[in-house]
Amino acid sequence: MAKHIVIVEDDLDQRDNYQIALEQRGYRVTAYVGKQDAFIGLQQRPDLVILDIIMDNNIDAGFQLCVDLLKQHPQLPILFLTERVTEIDRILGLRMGAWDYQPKPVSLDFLAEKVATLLRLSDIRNLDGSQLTDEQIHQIGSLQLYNESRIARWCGHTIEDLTLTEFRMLEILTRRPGHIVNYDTLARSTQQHYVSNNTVSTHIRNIKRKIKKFDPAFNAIQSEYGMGYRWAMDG
Amino acid sequence: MVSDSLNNKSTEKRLRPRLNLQWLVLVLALVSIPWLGYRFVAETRVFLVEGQILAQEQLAQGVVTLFQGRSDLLAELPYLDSQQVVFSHTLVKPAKVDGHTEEWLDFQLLAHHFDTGDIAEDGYSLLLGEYGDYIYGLVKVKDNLTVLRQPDHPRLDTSDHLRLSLPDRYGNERRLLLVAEQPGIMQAWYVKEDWATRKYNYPSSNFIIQAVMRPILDGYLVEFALPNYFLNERQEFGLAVVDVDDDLVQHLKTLVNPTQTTIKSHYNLLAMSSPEANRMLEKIDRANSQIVVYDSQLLIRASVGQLVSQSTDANKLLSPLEWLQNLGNKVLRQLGQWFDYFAPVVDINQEQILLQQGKDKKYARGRWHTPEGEEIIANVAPIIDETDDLLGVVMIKQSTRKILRLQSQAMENIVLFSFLTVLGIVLALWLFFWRLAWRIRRLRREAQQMIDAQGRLQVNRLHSETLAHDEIGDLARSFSSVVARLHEHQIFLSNMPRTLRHEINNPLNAINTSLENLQRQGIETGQQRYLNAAQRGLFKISAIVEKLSDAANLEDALAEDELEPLDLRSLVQTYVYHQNRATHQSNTDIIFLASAEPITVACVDYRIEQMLDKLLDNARDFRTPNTVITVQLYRQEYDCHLEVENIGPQIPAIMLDGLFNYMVSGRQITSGKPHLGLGLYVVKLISQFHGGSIMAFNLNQPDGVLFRVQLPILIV
Repeated sequence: MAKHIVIVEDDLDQRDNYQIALEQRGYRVTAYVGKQDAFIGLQQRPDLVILDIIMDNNIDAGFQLCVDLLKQHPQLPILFLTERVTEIDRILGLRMGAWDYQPKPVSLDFLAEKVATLLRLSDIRNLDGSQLTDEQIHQIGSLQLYNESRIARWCGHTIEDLTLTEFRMLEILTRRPGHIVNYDTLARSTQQHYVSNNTVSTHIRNIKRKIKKFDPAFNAIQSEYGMGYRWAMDG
Repeated sequence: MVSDSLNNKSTEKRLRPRLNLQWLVLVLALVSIPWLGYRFVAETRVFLVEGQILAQEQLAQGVVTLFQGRSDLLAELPYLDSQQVVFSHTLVKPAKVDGHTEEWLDFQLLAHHFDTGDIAEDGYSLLLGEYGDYIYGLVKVKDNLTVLRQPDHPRLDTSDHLRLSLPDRYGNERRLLLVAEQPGIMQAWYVKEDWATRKYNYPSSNFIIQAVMRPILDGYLVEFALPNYFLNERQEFGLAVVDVDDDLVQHLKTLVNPTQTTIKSHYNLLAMSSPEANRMLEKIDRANSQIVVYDSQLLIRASVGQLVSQSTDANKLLSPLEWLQNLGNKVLRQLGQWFDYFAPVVDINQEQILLQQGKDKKYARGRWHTPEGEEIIANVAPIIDETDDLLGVVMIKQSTRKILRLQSQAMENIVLFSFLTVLGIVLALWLFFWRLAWRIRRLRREAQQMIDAQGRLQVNRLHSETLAHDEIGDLARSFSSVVARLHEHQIFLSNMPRTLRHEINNPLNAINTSLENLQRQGIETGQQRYLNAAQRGLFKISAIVEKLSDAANLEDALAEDELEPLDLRSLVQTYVYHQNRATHQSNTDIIFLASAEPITVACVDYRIEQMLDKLLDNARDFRTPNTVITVQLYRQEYDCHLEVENIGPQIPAIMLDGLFNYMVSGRQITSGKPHLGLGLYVVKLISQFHGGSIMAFNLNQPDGVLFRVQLPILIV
C-alpha cells in the first residue's frame, strides 16, 4: 500500500510540483492550502507530513500546526520545507519534534530522497529491538553509524538531535578516513540548491558540539583550511 | 570654504559657555544685590551726615548769637608775663582720687613740666582737670628720697609736701599744705604765711579736699581734688612742691621762681571754663555732641557735652554676634575707604586746622577719624563783635557713632536679607540648572546608548523626558518620533535580506521544481540547453540571495560562536597551501610570509577562514593578471597583523572610509561572479568580533592595495 504523504503549502505552484513529483514516485499525496484545512483533514494519521512555515501571512503557522499534530500523533514524521533558514528557526523546528528541516529552494530529487529516508526511518523506529539486530552498522574507530535508522554513536553514546543532513555529512566524512573531503562534496550532503562553505562549516560545528557534550576531547573532525574537512585516522 | 565654515562652527562651539558657566555668571550678577544695598546705605549715611553737619552749622550760629555782645565772658585772660597758664582738661568722668593715673592717660603727653633749672635738682610735672564742680590735679614728683611727716611734729615743713596758694576775690591768700605721714591719704592743712605753722588744729576735711600720695620708682605721685569755689574769678592759683632731703634742707620747687622761698605773689593762671559761659551752653546741650567756646587765644572758656569715648577693651570676650558686628564694622570701614567718596580723613590735626580757620574769622567744617576709629564731624564759627574783632570761636564736635550704628544695623539687616535672598536664589538657580543639565545629560546618555558600535538603533523610542511638559519635553518627543521612524526604517532595511529571501525563494522554488518536473516529463531534443541555462540562472540567483541573507544574519550567527585559542600562523599557512593547490597552476598564486614561531589568538577558526576567503576573493578580483597575492602575518607588540596585498588599481580615496560598510562595492571589473559589496563588510564584522579591526591602504610603485587585519594576540 502506498505511503500517505500530506503536504501543507500555501503556494499553489510549489504545492502542485511537490505533489506531482511525489505521486510520480508512487506515494499517495494529499495537499492542503493552510493550517486550518490541514488540521481538519489530518484527523487520520498520515505516514509523513511536509510543512511550510509561513502560510497565509502567519509567519509561524507551520510551527503551530507541528505542535498541534504532534499532540495528536506523537510519532508522526514531520519535515519542514521552508524559506526560513536561520539557525534559530532550524533549532526551533527540530526542538518542536520535527524530524528534519529542509531549506528552500530544494531539488525534487533531494526531496524525494529525504522523504524516502524519513519513511524508512519511521518504519525502523516502529519495529521492536529484535527486528533491528541485522541492521548494517558502519564502524569507524569509536564511531558507529546505523545507516538504516540514521543513528550515530560515539564511544557507545547515541549522538542526540543529529539531523539527517548532519548524519549524511558524518557518513561522507568517514567514507575515507584521513582523506580531505572538500567543501563542495560536503555541500551536496545538505541537499540544498546553493550552499556556501560557511553553511558547511556551521553544520560541522554543530556535529562537533553534539559529540563534545559527552566527550569534550573529541577531535576526530579536523579542519583543512581553505579546502574542507578530514576525519582523522585515529578518530 | 567648507573647511573654513567648519572651523568657524567648531570655534563657536568652543566659545559657547556651558550651562555651569552660565549659572556662575548669573550668580556673580546676583552679588550686585547686596552691593546695591550697600550703596543705598552708604548714600543714606551721606545724607544723614550732611544733615547732621547742617544742624551743627545752625547750632554753631545759635551759639555765636548767644555769645555776641558777651565780651566779658570771652575777654582775654589778663595774665602777666610772670604767670604761666596751666590748662585744665575736661575729664570724661570724675577722677577717683587714689594715686593712680587711669583717668589721666589721655592727657599724659600734655603735662606741664617744671624743674628748678638746676640739673642736679629734681623736677615735677602737673596735670589739671575739671569735671563738674571739682578741680583735679595729678602731680608727679621726681625725688630720690621721699621724706614723710613725723606725726605730731609741730612744724609742717620738715617733710616733703605740696603748697597750694589760692587767692580769694579780695586778694586774700589762702594757703593749703598737703603732706603725707604715710603713703595714701594726705592731710590738707591751712597754714600761716611761714608755710610751716598750721592755722587750725586739725587738717581740712577729706570730704572737701582729697589728696592721696603714692610712691613710685623715681619719686611719688600726688592726686588731689578740691571744689572749684576755691578759685577766684581770675582762676589764679599757685602750687609749689617742697622737697626735703633731710631735716635741715628744703628745696622749694615753684612754678615761677624756684629761688624764692615765698610764692605769695606768684600765681599761675588756671585756664578753665567759665561757669557762666558753661551755664549758657548747658541750655543748648545736645546728646553725643560737644560744644566748646574758645576765646580769641583759642583757650577754652566753656564746654558742654561729651563725645562718648569708644570702649576698646581688647581683653573683653566678645559674643559671636558682637564679633560679627565688629567684623562687619571693620569691613564697612574698609569698604568705605575703598569705595566711599564721602569717607573722612584720618588726621588728628584737623581740629587744630579748623580752630585756626575760626581764628581767621572763617566758618569751617571738617570730618576726621580719631586714632581710636571714632568718626568726628565738626563745625567752627567765629564770634565777632560789632567792630569786627574776634571775640572767640565756637566749635561743635559730634561723633557719627549713632549714624554709624544705624548704618551698621541697616547693613546687618541688608546683608542678612541679601545673603538669605541671594542664597535662596542661588540655590534655586543651582537646582534649576542642575536639573536642567541633568535632564539634558540623561537625554544625551540615552541618545548615546540608542546606537550600538555599528551605528544601529537599539530602541524604537526615547523614554527620558517624553512626559515633560516643557521645551525639553517637546524636544524629547520630537526626537523620540524621529527615532521611531528611523527604527522602522532600520527594521525595514535589516529585514530586507530576509524579506527578499522569503519573497524570492518561494518563486525560485516554484521555478526550480517546475523545471525539474518538466525535465522529468521529458523535453524535446535541443530544448535541454535552455533548461540548463534556466537552472544556471536559478543557481546564481540562489547564490545572491544566500550571500545577502548570510551577511544580514552574520552578527546573530557570530553570537553563537565560541572563541578558542588557535595558532593563527598554522591556520593561515594551511589555508594558503590548500588555496595554491586548488588553483592547479604550476606557479604559486599566493605567497605566505611569516616568522617561524606560532602566533596564538582567540578565534573561531572557520570565521577566520571565511574572512580569508573574502579577502582573497577581493585580491583576486582586483589584481593585475599574472601577479601573485602576498599574505603576511607578523606580531606587532600585543597584536598580530594579517595582511593581504595585491598589485593592481588603487582604491579611490573617497571610497576608503566607507569601504567596509554594508553593500559598498567599487568593482569595475567584470569577473562573471555577482558582486554585492558584502565581502569586506563580512571581514569587518569578523575582525571586530575577534576584538580587532580592518584597514585598507593604497600602495605605490607598483600600485596596489593592502588590507590589514589587526587581531589581539592571546597572552598565556
